[in-house]
Amino acid sequence: MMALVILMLACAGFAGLALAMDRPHRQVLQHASSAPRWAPRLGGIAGLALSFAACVADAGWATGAILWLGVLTAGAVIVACLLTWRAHWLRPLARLLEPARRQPGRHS
Amino acid sequence: MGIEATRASSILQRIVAAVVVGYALAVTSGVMLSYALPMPSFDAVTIGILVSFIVYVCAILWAFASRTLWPMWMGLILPTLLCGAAAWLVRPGGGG
Amino acid sequence: MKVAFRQSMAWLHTWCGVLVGWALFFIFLTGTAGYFDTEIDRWMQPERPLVAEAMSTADAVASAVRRLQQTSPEAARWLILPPSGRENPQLRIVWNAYPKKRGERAASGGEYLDAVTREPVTYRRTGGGQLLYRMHYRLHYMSRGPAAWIVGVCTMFMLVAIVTGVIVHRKIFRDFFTFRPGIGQRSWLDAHNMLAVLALPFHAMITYTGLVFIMYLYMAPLIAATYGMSEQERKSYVDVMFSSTPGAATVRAGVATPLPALAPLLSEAERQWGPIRSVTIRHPGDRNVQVFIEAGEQTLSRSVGELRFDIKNGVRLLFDDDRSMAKTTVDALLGLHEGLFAGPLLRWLYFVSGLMGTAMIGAGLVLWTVKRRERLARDDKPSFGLGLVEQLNIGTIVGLPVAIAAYFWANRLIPSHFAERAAWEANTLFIVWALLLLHPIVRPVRRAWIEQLGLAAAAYALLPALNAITTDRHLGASVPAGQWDLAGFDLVMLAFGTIFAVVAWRLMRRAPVTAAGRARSYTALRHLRPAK
Repeated sequence: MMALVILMLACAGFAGLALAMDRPHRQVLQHASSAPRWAPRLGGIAGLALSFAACVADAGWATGAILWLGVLTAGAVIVACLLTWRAHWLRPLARLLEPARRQPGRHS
Repeated sequence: MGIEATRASSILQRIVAAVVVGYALAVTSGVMLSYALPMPSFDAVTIGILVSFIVYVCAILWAFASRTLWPMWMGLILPTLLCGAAAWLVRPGGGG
Repeated sequence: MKVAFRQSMAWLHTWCGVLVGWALFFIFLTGTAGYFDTEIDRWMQPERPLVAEAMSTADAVASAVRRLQQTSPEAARWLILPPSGRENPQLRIVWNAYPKKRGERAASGGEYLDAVTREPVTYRRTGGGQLLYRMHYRLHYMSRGPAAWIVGVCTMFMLVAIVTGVIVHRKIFRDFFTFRPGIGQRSWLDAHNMLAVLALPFHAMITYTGLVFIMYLYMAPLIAATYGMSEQERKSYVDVMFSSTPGAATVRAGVATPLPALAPLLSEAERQWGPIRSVTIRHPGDRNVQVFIEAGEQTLSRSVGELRFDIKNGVRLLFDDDRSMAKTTVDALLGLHEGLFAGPLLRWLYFVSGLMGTAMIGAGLVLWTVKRRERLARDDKPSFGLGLVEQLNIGTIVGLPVAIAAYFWANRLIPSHFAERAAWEANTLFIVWALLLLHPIVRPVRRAWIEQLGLAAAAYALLPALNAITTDRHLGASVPAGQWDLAGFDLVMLAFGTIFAVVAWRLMRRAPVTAAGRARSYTALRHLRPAK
């Protein structure tokens, strides 16, 4: 159970960081990001930090830190696969992380 | 034909420098470190060894990154001699 | 200036890869299998009971001592491994006699004891998962020394490749999630980069810590400079490196003394540290008997609790927390590499990262050939080097996995009473690998890939079926009994078989990549390029 939580936090974290980048954002939402970068980036860092906390809570400082590095790999791989083949699955998260800012003339 | 021979010679020199002089530099720098560290034998030698691997990698990169051959050789041989001399000076039971 | 530096590093990176890539692939694949070595051991000895009978530690040790007193009452050392956790699924005893002459190897023996009858049982002799994983640093068919040097050199090449790879990778953050399938060379580069970067902490750690295991050999001059040149003096360094808290070894007094009561010692050890891993008794039946009880759990820095008892000093409890900083560091580096401290989730992450490293090496080797193939004009023949690399790629990247599957097939097919079966299981691995290295010589490249991928799919996917035909430890038995390490092996084999089948299928259906096809792919993916 804890393992699932740790993994999901890491995935969410990386998804956030990805959405703050040009190319992945385009893959998910089909257009360039018009919103400021700090929101998804902050969300991403928060997700990774929470997954670190969860790892340490589960396994202590030393083993927890190692576990976290492994979890980062898993989370990054999952997000990369999603972006390549199922990018639209990340749309809900993208909408959540992007403060609503509609520009006239742009279609979402 | 001349250019190919020069290139082959350059590569061969870099390989020899990286493998042989690089190892010498790794060993002398490691010995110097292990002599200089104020720790029990096992600890000093261990730290020396762990660092020496990194020195070896850097030496290998230097051998191939350096643009011309003469600085490449000097950049490996001189530090090796310096570390060797320093190791001799700080050797336990011996000099300074 | 910077361009030239990048270029030279790229050159170095490529050469490091091409010279030892196949050896590194072997090392990585067999090493990765090692993270599940005891699970593989269990599958390869199907005679082991399906469900281990629960046995209290005191009971197990008492039975073991009874048996040891029968077989070797005058032994120099008894080792008892009660059933506990991952490492020892079965009660095992080992005895070592005194060497007849100085320096001679002493006689020794070992047995598994059945949990119910307490009698010795024999399982089929096999190298198991332990042999497979040991190959990653011992190789095979050669003695320790040459293998250590070969693996050490390959490890240095790998370390240089990692560092130069990071230097050369220009957009390491921007391309963090970039994978563009189906465009030939670019796709292979993306795959190689991704497999490398996303597991970079693992790759760097495993490579550097790998060197630490045999650092006393590689950097022997450093040890000699402080300890002295003779082998005896250098050995004292190695002894400290691999020992836990040193203790004075005693010699046999020759005075017969009944064995001390072990049950109170065991319960004290279990009270301190939980399940124990081993009980060692030196000079049993003598006055100078020494008892060492080792705890089961290992920390990241490989420290284990140990209870020591002898008649003169009584009980002493030791935990490695008075190690020096340097010793703790070395132990932690070794512990990180072995991953024995890891729980199930972390063990799986180690396994996945190891597979990623293996695939990274394979992708790099394929990238090298794809790059050069794309440069060939339409009617050019490939150079000898390109042809050779392509053949070695197929025979290793697909051939070696098939050979490992063949090792498992051999385990089920070689009769269990055959004396040399362990050696022949290993021979099967290398014979199959050799044949698959030769196969691409007589087949066109694409055909060879598809044929070997198809063979791999069959070899892996049919393994659970072979298991069901030859034993009764198949999925139909292991799943209902909740024996997930047994079932897991079969399931993972099925998964690998499926992956190979999918890849073979897609390769068969896909038309060979042509220039026109690449142009079409570029156009289709154009919307993903950043607007300049």
